[in-house]
Amino acid sequence: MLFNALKAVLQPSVFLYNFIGVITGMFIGTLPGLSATMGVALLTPLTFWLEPTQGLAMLLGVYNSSIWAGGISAILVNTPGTPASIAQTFDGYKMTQQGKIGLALGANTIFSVIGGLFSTFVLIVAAFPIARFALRFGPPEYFALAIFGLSMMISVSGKEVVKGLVIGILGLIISTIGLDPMFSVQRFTFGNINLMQGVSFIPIMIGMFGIGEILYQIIERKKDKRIIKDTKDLGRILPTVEEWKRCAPATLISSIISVIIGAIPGTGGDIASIVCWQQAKQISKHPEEFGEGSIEGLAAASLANNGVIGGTMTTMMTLGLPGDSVTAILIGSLMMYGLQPGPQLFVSNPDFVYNIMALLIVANLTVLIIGLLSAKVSSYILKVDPEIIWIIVILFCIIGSYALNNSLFDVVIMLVSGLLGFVFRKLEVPLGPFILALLLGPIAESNFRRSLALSSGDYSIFVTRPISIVLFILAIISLTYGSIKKAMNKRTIEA
Amino acid sequence: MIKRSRLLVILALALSVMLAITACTGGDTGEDNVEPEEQQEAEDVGVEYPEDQITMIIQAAPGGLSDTVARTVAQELQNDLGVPVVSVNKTGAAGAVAMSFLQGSNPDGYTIGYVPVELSMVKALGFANDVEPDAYTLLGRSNISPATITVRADAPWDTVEEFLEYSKENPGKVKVGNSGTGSIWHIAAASVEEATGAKFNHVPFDGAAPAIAALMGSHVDAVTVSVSEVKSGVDSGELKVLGVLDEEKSPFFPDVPTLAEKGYDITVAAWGGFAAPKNLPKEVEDVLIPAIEKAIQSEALKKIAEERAFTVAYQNGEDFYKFAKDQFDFYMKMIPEMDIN
Amino acid sequence: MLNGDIIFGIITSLIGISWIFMSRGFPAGTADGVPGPGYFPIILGVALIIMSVVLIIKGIKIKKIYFNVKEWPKENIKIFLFTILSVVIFMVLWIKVSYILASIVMLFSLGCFYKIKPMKNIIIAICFSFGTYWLFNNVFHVMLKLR
Repeated sequence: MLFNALKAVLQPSVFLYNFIGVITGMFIGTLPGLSATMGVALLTPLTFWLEPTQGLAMLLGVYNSSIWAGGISAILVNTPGTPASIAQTFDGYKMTQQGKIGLALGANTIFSVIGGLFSTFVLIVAAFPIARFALRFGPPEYFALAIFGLSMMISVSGKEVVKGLVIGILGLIISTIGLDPMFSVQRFTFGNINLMQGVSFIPIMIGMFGIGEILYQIIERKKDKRIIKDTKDLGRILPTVEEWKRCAPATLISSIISVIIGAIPGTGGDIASIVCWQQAKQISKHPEEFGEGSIEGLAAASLANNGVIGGTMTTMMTLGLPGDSVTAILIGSLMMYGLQPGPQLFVSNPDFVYNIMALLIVANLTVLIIGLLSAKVSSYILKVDPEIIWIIVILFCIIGSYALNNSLFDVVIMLVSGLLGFVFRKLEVPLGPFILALLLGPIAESNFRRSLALSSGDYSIFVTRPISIVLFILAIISLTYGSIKKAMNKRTIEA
Repeated sequence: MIKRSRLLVILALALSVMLAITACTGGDTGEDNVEPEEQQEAEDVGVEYPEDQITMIIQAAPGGLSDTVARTVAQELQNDLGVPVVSVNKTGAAGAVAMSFLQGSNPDGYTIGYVPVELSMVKALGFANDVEPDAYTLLGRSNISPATITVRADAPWDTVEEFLEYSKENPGKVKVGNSGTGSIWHIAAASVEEATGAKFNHVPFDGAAPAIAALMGSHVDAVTVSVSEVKSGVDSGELKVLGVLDEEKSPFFPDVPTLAEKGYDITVAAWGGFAAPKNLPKEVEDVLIPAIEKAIQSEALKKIAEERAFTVAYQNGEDFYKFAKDQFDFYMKMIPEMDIN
Repeated sequence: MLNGDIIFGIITSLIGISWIFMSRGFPAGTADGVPGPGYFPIILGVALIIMSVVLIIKGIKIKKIYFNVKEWPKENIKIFLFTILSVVIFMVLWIKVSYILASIVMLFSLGCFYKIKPMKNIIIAICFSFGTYWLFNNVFHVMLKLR
């Protein structure tokens, strides 16, 4: 079946539209503020004139490549191009500073494609079981998942655990701004309508990472020394056999986690990449390198955000439910072609289902080729004077945060976050816990209270369901694991 | 040293201002300057309304029903009027951010917007005091989709009576998912309670899709969201609709009874239409309202309505205003009584 | 000089206190035990205060100075402040006049201050201002025209 589908897909026109999609996605993904959602929304009207296979070739190309390309700006200028590439700034940008630009860009491409292909494979062999499993996530499970995610605050804090917790809780506090998720009461909005939906996350991210980094570079600028190591060439792009071996455990664990997180409706690449980064750190032989330019960390994060695509597609195609905002639009375009996503799609249009899977494979392979070829071009950006990069990044941060929702308020949020980001960097406050809290805080709170609404106030709902128990145990392990390891390290140092 | 750099900056500023001015008057960005002239023209001469790009403000994120309807109508308008009609999404506060923005825009016909049922609700909910039907020139209603009572296909209830009977016997036991406290589908469930004497346990979700997912995953027992939102789940055999909260049967579920047939007079529906800021010049209205009607009655929207299971229900500006005003008065009375805080 | 940890701790604990204070006005939870809107903010406020106190105590012990402004090169501080100023000017010009003007002014004056060669600077300012305007306004349909 799949072989026939591949044959149907292997046409020059399909390749052409796929190529257009990938190039557009690369562009959109690299620019902070322009998300995969926007890319897909932008190209959707164009697909009305195309055959279903051609149209989806373009849309899936944009989807895959914009998530992948978000990592490029994370690696080169420390500004995540999409929220899903936050975790790539942890190690990717450090690698750039160490002069391993080529390797960082190469790893981003290669592991993104591995994630994409693996999740497509899961979609092919196990779409229905995975989707059924994802449906078992009710409010208590979402709460447990959020707690599991939040338990990583400590390990993403690096050496500054106290500061990490302070900033993490501050993030949770900020995430309570807006309309109460259960009661329709406005909290801490000070009567400002723009705050009712809460403080938007993407402007904060763009400001803290983009503007914050530039302000930091300005203050730290030395007359003749550049922040980023001057390199004549970008170095090798492909990892060595040794590095491949090192990344193997991270690859495996991230592949599995990201597909599942992708399949759960409402959770996406941003959460997946942080969770995978952390899990890869826990099983790594060199956890101390994480956050300092570890190729394993970059591999896990790069893999995770593309790995969710197969998961979201699984939920979309088997249940007809959008796993994230991109698949919400894809559902619309499928309907436009008269194809209703859901289990009946597999019965009434099995050819088309296989076409989609084949298209996902083609999209990933295109990303691989373009990614490796373009690594050279992307890294030219570093031969440009840093001052010019500053100017351009400032402009794109402003326009990107505005473009998100055509909101000047978001620009102000972005600029304030930029200043704060600078202050936090000078104070050596880690940003990871803050970002984590902003992402997971609303999920934790609303699902905690929603669970109690379901159980009429009975707290046992959290511990009587298998998935939530497992997640809580994982949270406890990830909380204590670090301190046990630290204690052991101390003992070895003392001894 | 300091003097030199200061001089440099002043020079820089002066030069860039000059550059920008020449660029603006000369080049393709003449748009920036054209607008005031144009407005005058529209007022003085009263002709040539659409000669520049029209912006369509959409209150929801891309991909949803509102977005699809608004973008389709925008495309049809563009074909009809011969100027670009550009869709802009501006989300937040149940659409109040976009509607507030639209209300404060220039009434020149170059900014129009999609207005959903929340137009009649957000003031009662206390989200925005400047959003109500009276604050706009309503151009035409486009679509309507009534609420349903939907359960899982394997649920023990096969008729709406059985469902209501069970809810009455077990007050507060039936978990009914809605799309958020104070949302239209919460109101739907509350109206059912009020009319039938049943008592539900309301569980708000962040939108209709998560509520449906929770229903499929057996975390809630029923949802009260619209026909268009449950259609795909029903087609795939996961869900069944027990009743429709409308006066007439839904063409998409011809076998499902309405609650009116069962003796409960409840109609709750999500609807949408198009609006412009208040005090739209008459000449602009004369162009825009027929164009909107043509776009709403177009084949393209009909086709989408078929796919997405909503009804194209055109009303002209005047009727739409009356309809929205009626709804507004109803929700202004109903929402404070609901005790949702 | 100022001790960063202590000041940071004081500010965050003030935020915690104000959050608790503001949450007191929120309605209580429902009768069947669903926590009200104030539940989380109050817990978080308390947690933030506790952690801030820990941070302050740590700060007193370590006495590390993060913001040694005197050690920063004067030139860099000037550029820093100017960068912020020109972004503010950009916003004002964007809102009051137009995006293109605002962008050219900001890019050009930043370029002068960052000592980019004049010719290069002019080219960058013009290309990027018009380029981004065209791209975002015409391709991405972003409302860059504010009036």
